[in-house]
Amino acid sequence: MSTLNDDVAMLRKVPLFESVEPSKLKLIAYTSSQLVFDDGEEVFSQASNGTSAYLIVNGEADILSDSGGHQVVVAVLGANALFGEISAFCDVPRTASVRARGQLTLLELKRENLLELIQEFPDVAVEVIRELARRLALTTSDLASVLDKQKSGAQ
Amino acid sequence: MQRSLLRYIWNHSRKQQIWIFVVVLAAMPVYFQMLQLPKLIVNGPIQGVGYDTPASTQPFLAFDLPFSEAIFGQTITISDGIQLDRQAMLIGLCLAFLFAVALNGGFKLYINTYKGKLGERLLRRLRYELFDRVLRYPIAKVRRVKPSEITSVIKDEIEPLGNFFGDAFSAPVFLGAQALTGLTFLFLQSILFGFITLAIVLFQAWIIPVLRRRLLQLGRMRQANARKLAGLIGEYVQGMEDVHLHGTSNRARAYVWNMLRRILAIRFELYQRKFRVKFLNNFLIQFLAFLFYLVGGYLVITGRLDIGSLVASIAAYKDLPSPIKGIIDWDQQRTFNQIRYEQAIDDFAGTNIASGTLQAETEAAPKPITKGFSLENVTVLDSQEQPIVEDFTNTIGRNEAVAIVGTANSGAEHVAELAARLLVTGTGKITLDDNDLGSLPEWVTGQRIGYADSSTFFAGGSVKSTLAETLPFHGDTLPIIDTASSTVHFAEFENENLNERAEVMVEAAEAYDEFAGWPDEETAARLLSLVETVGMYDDILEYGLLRKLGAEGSDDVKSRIMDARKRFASDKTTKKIAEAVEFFDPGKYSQQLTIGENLIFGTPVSEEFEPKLLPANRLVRNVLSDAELLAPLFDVGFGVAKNNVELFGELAEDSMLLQRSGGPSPEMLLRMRQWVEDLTGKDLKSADRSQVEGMLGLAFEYSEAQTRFGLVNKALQQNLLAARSALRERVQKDDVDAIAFHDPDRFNPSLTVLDNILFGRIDARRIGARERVLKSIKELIESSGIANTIFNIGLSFDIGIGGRNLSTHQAQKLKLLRALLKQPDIVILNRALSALDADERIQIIHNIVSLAGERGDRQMGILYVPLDNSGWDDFDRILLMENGRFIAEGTPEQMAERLEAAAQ
Repeated sequence: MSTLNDDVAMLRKVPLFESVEPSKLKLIAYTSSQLVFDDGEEVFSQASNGTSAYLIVNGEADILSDSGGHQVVVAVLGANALFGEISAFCDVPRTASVRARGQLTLLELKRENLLELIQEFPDVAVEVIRELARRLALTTSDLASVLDKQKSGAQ
Repeated sequence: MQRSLLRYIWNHSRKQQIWIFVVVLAAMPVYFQMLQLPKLIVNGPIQGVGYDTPASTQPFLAFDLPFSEAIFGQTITISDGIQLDRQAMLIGLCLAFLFAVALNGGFKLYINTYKGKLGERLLRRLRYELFDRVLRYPIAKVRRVKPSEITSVIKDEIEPLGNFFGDAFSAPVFLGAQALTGLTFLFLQSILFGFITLAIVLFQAWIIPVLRRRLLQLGRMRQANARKLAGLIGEYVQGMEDVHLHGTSNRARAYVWNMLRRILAIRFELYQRKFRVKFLNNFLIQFLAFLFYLVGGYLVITGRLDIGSLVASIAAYKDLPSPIKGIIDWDQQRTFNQIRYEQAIDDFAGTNIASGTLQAETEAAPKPITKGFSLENVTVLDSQEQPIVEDFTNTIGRNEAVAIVGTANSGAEHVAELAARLLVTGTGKITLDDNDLGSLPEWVTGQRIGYADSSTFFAGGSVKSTLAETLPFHGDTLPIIDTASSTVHFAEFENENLNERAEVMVEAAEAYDEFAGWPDEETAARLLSLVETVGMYDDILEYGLLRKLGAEGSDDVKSRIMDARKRFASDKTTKKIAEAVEFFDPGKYSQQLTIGENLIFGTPVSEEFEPKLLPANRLVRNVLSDAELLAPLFDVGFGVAKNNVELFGELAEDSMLLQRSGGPSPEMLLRMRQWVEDLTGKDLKSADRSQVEGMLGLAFEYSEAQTRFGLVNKALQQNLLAARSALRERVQKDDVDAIAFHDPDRFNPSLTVLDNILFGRIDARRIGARERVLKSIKELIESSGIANTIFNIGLSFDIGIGGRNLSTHQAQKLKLLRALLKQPDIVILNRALSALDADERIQIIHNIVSLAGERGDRQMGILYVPLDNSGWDDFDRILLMENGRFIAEGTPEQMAERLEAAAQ
């Protein structure tokens, strides 16, 4: 059974939280609950509404996408991976389904707790904004390069 | 009912009243002697009259036959007495006085006790009679009255009458005789004093009724308003949901306050007037004393009256005011109580109640219904004189399933109510097997007709008592009081001897369970199949699983539950589910349990082992100290406090995060902070007692699975396991029953049946595990043959006041179950099961129709007023109603088109 300190160590490895103070991370860990799923059990399904982000404590999870009536595994996540964080910060339906591959232990980070934490400690907000901005920058440059490739391909 | 209170009392306690009169009469001579003896003592031995020389003697206890001179012409002496000198006479007379006092007291004691008993018995009779009438009220009337007003009358309003019943006749006789004795005595002493007293008494007798008229009026108002208050409060309590929903509590306060103000105004005026009358009475009596002293004193001074006579007159007078006052008080009580009684019974006596023969039971069971209902030109008007059923003529046979289809105002449900006798016909005729339905005894229709509508009210009790109480009553049948009914029959109940102590009776009544042996084997089998029919089996099974096994837990049942426990833990099919459960194992430290729970490893039975008191428990402390665990646990407690302060220390007290996280309360956090401040750098030895208990308390409540601070390492777990077995040994030596230990091989009576089978904790991290475990345990108990046992345990589930522990659909199913369980010849389903969804409802109705047998050969008739526009295909006949009138009838096939048209 993992302790809060183990969870904190794990959260620190997540880019989104890596520069948040350890004591705040401990609070995040404390307010989160551990969930255990057996092989094949679904964590959530694509297009459903959800407000939690999940961190894999133990085991592996299949990320599945619905395409043409059947599900395709688009990725397999392992320990320390974070998923579902987009729905946790804004109201969009789940973009994929997640299913346990073997026994899977997750840490469930609830939206209201994350938002509360940001309100209580604005410096956490700054860290989160910084990480999201960094991702946005990455996405923008990715998009630019894709568009570049398209343009050059079209010519 | 008798409207005159005195007549009511005389009718029902004639013999006792006469007996009191006789005893009072017998007490009179003793009372007279009590007045006479002081005069003899003063005049004789004290003043020395008749003792001229020291040697002279006088006869003591000489007794002549009374009136012998008048009857026989000569004095007949019964006893010459004994001759006593002055001193001996003083002692003799004083002893005689003492004897008279004791005897007089004895008489009073007997009379008061007798009167009390008489009053209470008559009060019991009156209450019974009033309730008997309520039972026979027409249904329409019962729906109109406020329950709390009826309660107020039967319980409170007539209560003061109990004190009056015993005094009704004896008091005026007793007091009158006393006053008369006193007055006679006065006349014997002095004619003048007699006349003065008589004049004053007569004046009182005239003036008081004049002053009292307004009092009576006020008394009437007081009672009416008090009853309204009871009704108002009852209404508010019943309708409390509305008060909260609409936020009208301030209106409620205003209404009740105004009612209380009115009552105070009435009562205050009543007091003012009552005490004015009292003042006048007292003054008139004391005015007599003034005359006595003035006139008597003047007569003695002028030598026209001897002082002994004056003393005796004053002595006689002294006992006169209290009987006279008593008579006045009695008369006041009589008039007040007459009003009280009149007002109390007014509504009861004025209501046209059903004849007692309708409710009387005969020995033989009622004959089964052979034909069924026949309605001829039945018309019913509502309270606004509008027809709700008009000119309805049809039959509902015992061998057919009939559905009466119609919208809410079609009158269909009223036809069902008519058949169930909940509604009375205006004109027309309803017969059941050619007998007029209205004059059939209720116990016949009650047993042969079943009825269920959508109401959800139950009186309360268990599922079992709710089911069993509708079946025939086999106890003592008490008389139904009719004007014609014989008093003799009631007397045997009224005159029973109540020799037991009050507690014995009350305890016996509380321990008594009328339905202890219910259901018998045959009923149980029927119940089980009917419960399936109405779809309530799973509910009752779950009640059983969630109950602790009480007295119904025989060894056999326990061993079956133990078998189920073993099978659940080992069964291959449940293995996957079992993975979500951490089983209780005395040799293993449980991560799901707190340290305290791990230590006790059982359920506390004795209070001192409750979690809150555990840190102060001496036995636990000794065991921990022996195991050298106090210091480590102190450190765990300190760790818990320190971790919490670190986690939440920077959060504001009203932080949502703090409230939602399931962490400590703000007050607890404050205490933890204090502890951390005080105890940093200290250890167990330097901490004071409350600090040690605080730390142990935090440690005992700590569970690794829940809080994950990582404070319990393997070594500590091992030590705690050792302490667990040490504690168990000590408890078993000291007080075996203090803790019900978790023992894999033994049934634990302080756990629910479910927990006994599960015997562990479900891992909270697994979503939906609880539901899956419950489902698999249900399957397990069914396959292992103990489902019936647990079902029976579920029957003792407490349904709550008004059935509030049941959900609406459970309550409606239970109503239906009751209607079917009595094996009726015809069952009436009046828009029943409204809370269910249509599919389930139609399925249950279908089950009931199949239960009734094949078409053309039904064992049970069905009258069904459906809620849905379908589900009547298996009925024999459909009647269509509109606006209170019968429109058409036919088989479901014949009616299909019309019904479809009507539905649109």
